[in-house]
Amino acid sequence: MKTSPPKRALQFLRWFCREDYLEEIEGDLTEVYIKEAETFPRKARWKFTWSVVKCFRPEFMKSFKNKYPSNSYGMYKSYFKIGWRNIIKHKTLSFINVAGLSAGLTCFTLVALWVTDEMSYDKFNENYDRIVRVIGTTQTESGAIESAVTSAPMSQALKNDFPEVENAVRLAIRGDIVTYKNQQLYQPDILLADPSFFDIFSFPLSRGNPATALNEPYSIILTQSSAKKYFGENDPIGENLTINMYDGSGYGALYKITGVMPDPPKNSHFRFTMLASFKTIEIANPDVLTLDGWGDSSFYTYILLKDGVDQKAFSEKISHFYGKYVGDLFDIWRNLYSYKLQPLRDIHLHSNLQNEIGPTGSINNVYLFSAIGIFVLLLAGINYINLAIAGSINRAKEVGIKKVVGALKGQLIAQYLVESVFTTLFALGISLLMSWLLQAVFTQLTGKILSPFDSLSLLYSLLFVSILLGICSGAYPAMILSGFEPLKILKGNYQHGESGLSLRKSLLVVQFTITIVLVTSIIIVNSQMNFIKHKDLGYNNEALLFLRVHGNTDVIKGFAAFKNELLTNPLISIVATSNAVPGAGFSHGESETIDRNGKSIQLSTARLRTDSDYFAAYGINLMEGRNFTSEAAKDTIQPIIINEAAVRMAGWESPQAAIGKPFRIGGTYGEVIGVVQNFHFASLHDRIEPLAIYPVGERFSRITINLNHSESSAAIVWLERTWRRHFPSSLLDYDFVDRQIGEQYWAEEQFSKIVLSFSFMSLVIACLGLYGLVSYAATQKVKEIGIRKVLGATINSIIVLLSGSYFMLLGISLFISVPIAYYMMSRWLENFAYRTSISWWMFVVAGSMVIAIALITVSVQAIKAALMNPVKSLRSE
Amino acid sequence: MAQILGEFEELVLLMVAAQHDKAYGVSILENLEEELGKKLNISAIHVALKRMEDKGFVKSRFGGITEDRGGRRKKYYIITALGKRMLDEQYALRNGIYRRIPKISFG
Repeated sequence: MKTSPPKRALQFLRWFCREDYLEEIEGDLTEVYIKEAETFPRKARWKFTWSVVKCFRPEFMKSFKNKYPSNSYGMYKSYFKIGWRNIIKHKTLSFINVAGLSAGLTCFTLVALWVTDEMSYDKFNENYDRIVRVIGTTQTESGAIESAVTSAPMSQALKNDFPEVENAVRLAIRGDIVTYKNQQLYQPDILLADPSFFDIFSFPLSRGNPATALNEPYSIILTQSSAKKYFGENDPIGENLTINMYDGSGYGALYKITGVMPDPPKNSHFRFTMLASFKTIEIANPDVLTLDGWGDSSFYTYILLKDGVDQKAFSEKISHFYGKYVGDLFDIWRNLYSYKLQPLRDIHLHSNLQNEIGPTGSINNVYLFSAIGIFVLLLAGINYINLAIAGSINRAKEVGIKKVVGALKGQLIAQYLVESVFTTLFALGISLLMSWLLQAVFTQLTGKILSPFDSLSLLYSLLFVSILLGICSGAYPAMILSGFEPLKILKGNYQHGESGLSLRKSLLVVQFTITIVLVTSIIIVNSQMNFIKHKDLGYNNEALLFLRVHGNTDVIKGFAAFKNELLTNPLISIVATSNAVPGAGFSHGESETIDRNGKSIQLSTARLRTDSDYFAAYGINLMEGRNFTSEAAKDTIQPIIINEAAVRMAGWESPQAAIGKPFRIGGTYGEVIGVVQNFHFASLHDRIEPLAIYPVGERFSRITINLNHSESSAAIVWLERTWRRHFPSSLLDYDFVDRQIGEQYWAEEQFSKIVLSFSFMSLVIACLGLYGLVSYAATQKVKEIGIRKVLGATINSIIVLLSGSYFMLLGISLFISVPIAYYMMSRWLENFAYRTSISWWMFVVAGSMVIAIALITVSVQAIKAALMNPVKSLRSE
Repeated sequence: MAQILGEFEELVLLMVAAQHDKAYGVSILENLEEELGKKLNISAIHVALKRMEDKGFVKSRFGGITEDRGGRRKKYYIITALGKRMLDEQYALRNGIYRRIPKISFG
């Protein structure tokens, strides 16, 4: 009977034993085993195993370090040599690869820069997690309106009433005229804050004491750049600046400089150039702390909560906390106003309230751009995969030979991965260079000054992403290549890789789907922007100039003479005063009137104060009733003009019915004397709200001037001269109404530019890939084309042969992309109350544009191949 | 250089010499077991043989394939001249000392 020794022990022996000893040891062990197994089979097995274990000693073991101490340096050298030769040999292909990858990586780098910056907002604050903002909700007939502003007495009341509050600060922000050395300059973004500002937010002072710098009224801290602007290299501490802000006289108040601070970080949700004491407001307007003050929501309240306070629960607790401070008013206010908390971390990206302290970002844009960045990277990766698979046929012989001389599958995979990682790293180098060169464009698009070289961690993650991209896009081609069977390849009957074809085709479909989606989006965005530009806003906004008065007493006093002189010039037709111009946002407030049954009702309306010329200047159509008289501001019963939306909201049957109705605005009683047609005084994002217009008198802050269309520049020159003669010491700060209106769509303009650049990029990348694929197919089919031509095929039929299959793929992409684009863009259009509709032609245009470009790309190669002389391609065989 | 020959190695070497040109792992094992009257493990023989081969006391050659060894060849060991001299010295050393033992009577 033959038995064999225990398998596992034998395997183990064979695994560890040196090969020159193995023969003898295994033989001897087996002989002993066979002899013993005749009598005691079980014991023999144990003994065999035991003997193997006893052999497991260093002197019998083989060296695991280097089985073949071969020269692996040469192998790696050949990887690079062959990789390099491949790049050189297929110049077009390599160029497409590197160009595509670096375009993708450049997009990705820029997106990553932007996204990390957006996500970093306010994180520099040490108390980031504990800071919350109090926001107000106002119930109106058209729904709840959330607003970032609150009233001045609130912070102290919250501090007194709730142990959860560790500290609180009030902020106000405004831009004003600074007079320095008899020169007036407009200084934007002056922040006013309580001294607790420095305890809550993390802004350091470079000069001055944070504990006292904001204690006194009319004290101000300058940032480094504003200190430089006014004082150069001189020490500003203890100096004074005259600012037209909270001054009784109208000539500006003296602000004492008590500190200097470094410029605040750009990734703070509020930005400022100067920081004045909030006490100033209390001194100038003592009303803000009275009962009236509770109704004056013009300030921002931030709270530092104690550690471990449940923000949600506390937010509910304060919803009507003001009740005990406002007395009888609470009966009315209870249903109108409530408050809650908003965490600091939500302010930049998740908040879009009325009266935000600064422009906010949008988390949707962060998602959208991240998605686009990844998509573009995906496109570039797909290109690489497609071209590498297509090119793999050429390298089949190389693989065959390597396998014959003993290359392992793993080594081949490693070689191709090294090649692809090498290519992506090369592309990363180019893309870093590109993003550095594109910095100016990037800054123009996003308003951010960022460089990929600022953050080491970003560079590391880019490196990581590139290597990952290289591995991912190299993996599949590497598997295919290393899987070739050497015998088949070298025999010469190797069939072209049909296996990779369906994958290649589907990747192509993915690429073009993404591209068509992006191109469709850009068409829809553009058509909405066009819609905005050409929408009839209900008033005239062309050739309208407005001046900001900035509370200059000289201007207000000398206005009548100034106006009269302006009107003598034929280039100027109308001069009107008001407290606001369309596009800049009107203030909101509570009004009261009676409905058609005589029942008193509350309305929340936008407010505008104008003179009688305002309607003519803007071409606003008075539907019913009469205009203000020129002395209207002095009337005992305040005349009020409302818009159609207000008529509808009050529930009156017609504009005529509105005339003569009592109408209280805040504390002033008045009567409706006229109704104007609806006009878009706010942006097209929002529906037209009810509006109450009442006389401005001498409290105007804007002067609107109608210029002659064709000679506006001459008119401006003349205007400047006249202004200087009338108000020699006052700043002339003018702007155009249409520019002001356009500014409301700044975010959309940026958005459309960014989407445009991305769609361009993705189109380029996709076409590069397509070009590569077709030129490859053409070289593969060069003999087939030759034979076809010899047999009489026409050039057209060959072009169709080469490009026909791509046409179908593009068709599929179009089919898939339509619903995706439709869904995405209808979501985006929902941002606008007034919007264009998505119609079928947009998809047709986008689709046919992409297909046309793709077909041109394909045809260039196809025609080249079709025109080739068949003698050339067939001669060699 | 003083060559060292361990006790077990000496036994194995003796057996290699005794079975001149016919000695291989299993035959050495079996004969030693018979002489000594106790069980040995084959790997001990292997260790001793390999060490002595390194020291140059034995040399080896492969024999033909036999069926009962799972197709593996036997490895035959022959004593070298150095090995023989080592054995002779060992023998002379022991014999010399042995002869110096006086006649002792064990009551």
